[in-house]
Amino acid sequence: MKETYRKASDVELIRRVKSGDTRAFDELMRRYAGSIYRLVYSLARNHMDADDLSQETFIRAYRAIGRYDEQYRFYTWLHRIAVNLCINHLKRKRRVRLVPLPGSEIGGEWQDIADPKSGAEVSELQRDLDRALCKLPVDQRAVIVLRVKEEMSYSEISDVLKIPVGTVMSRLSRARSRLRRLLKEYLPV
Amino acid sequence: MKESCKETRRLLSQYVDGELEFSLAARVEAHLKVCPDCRRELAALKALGQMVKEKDKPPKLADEYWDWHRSQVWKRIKTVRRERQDGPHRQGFFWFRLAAVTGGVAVVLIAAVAGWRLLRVNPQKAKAPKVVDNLAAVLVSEQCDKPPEVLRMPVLPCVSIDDTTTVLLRALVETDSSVSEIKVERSSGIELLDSIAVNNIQKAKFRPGIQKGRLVRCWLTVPQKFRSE
Repeated sequence: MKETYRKASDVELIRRVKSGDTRAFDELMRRYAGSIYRLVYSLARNHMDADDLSQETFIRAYRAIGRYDEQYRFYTWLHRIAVNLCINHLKRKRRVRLVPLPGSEIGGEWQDIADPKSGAEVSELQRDLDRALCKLPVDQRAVIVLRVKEEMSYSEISDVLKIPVGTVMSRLSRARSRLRRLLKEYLPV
Repeated sequence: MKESCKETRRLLSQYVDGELEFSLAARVEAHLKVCPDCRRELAALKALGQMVKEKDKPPKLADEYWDWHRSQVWKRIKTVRRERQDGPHRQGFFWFRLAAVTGGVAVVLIAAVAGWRLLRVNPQKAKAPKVVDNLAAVLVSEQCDKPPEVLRMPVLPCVSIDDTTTVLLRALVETDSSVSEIKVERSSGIELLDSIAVNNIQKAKFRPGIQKGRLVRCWLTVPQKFRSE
C-alpha cells in the first residue's frame, strides 16, 4: 500500500487528496518538506521560523488544494505559497525584533548528530555568510535567494513577488554590492 | 572610475545572471576584454553567487524530525477543522448573529416609536426654545411664562464699607442670551459700587425668557449685594 503511494505521480496524488485521501497528502509532504524547509530557512534564517512556516505552507496548501491548477508543477505552486508566507511573516517581524536563544538557530534537538557538518562544525565562512545574509533587508534577501539558490528567472521572481522586473534588477544589484562589501575577505580583490 | 567602467558595473549583476539583452551584453564583454578591474569585479560576483549557492545551508535535521514535522501539520489541520466544527463559526454562530441583528432592529424600532409619540403628545415642548421672536415686545420678567434665569454670576469683590449695600439693576436679556442694556434701578449711593455692579452683570450668563413657547427679550431685575470686609 505504502509502495503504491511512493510510486504515484504528483498529479495522481493530488487527485487522491481532492477526493479525501489524506495519505496521499502525507506522501506529498514527505516528498517536498525538505525543499520547502530549505527555501524557507534561506529566507527566514532561523530554524524556529523555518519549522513553523514550512508547516504553515503545507496547511495552506491542503486547505487550498481544490484550487490547485494541474497545468503547473506542484512544487512551483507550493513554492509560491511558501515565499509569500515568508515575505509577509518577515515584514511583520521586522517591527518586533526577536533575540534568538543560543543554539535555537541550528535546529535545536532535531539536529542530526550523525552529520559532522552540522552544528559546531560550521565553518567561519558559513557563519560570516549567514551573518551577511541576515543583514540584508528582507526584499533584497528574497531576490538573492530566489535568483541564486532557487535559480528563478527575473520574470518568475517578478511574478512571485508581484514587483516589476526593473525592481528585481535593482534589488539584486544592491543585494550583490552589499554582500560583496560584507564578504570582501572571501572574494577575489 | 572611468565612465565605461561605471556603465559596466551597473550592468554586471544582470550580465552574471544572463538576463542582459544581446547588444548590452556585447558592450559589457567588449569592455571586459580591455579592463582588468572590471574582470576582477565579474569574478568576485560569480564567486559570491557560488558561495551563496553552495555554502549557505540550513542545519541538517534528523530523519525523526521530518516524521514529527508531518505529524505537526496534521495536528494543526485537525485543530483548525475541529474549531470550525465545534466553535461558534458553524452551528451556534448563525443563531447568535441572527439574535443580535434582530435585537438591534427591535431597539431601533422601539426608540423611533417612543420618540415619535413623545413629539406627538407635547409638540410645543419639543420645539419651543428653537423659535426666536426678536420683534416681539419687550417684557418684564413677571409677564413671562418662564422668566430669564441667571446661569452664572461672578462673585462681587468685598469692599470697605460700613454695612452691606445692595445695588438693584435691571438687565435686558436678549433672545441670544446676551445682555443689551443695563439700568440702575436703585443706586447704592456710591458711584464706584454701581459701576462694579454693572460690570459684574456684563460678565454674567443668562438664559433668555420664554413666552408661549417662544424665546423673548425680557427685562430681569438683578440685585447685586456688596458685603463689608
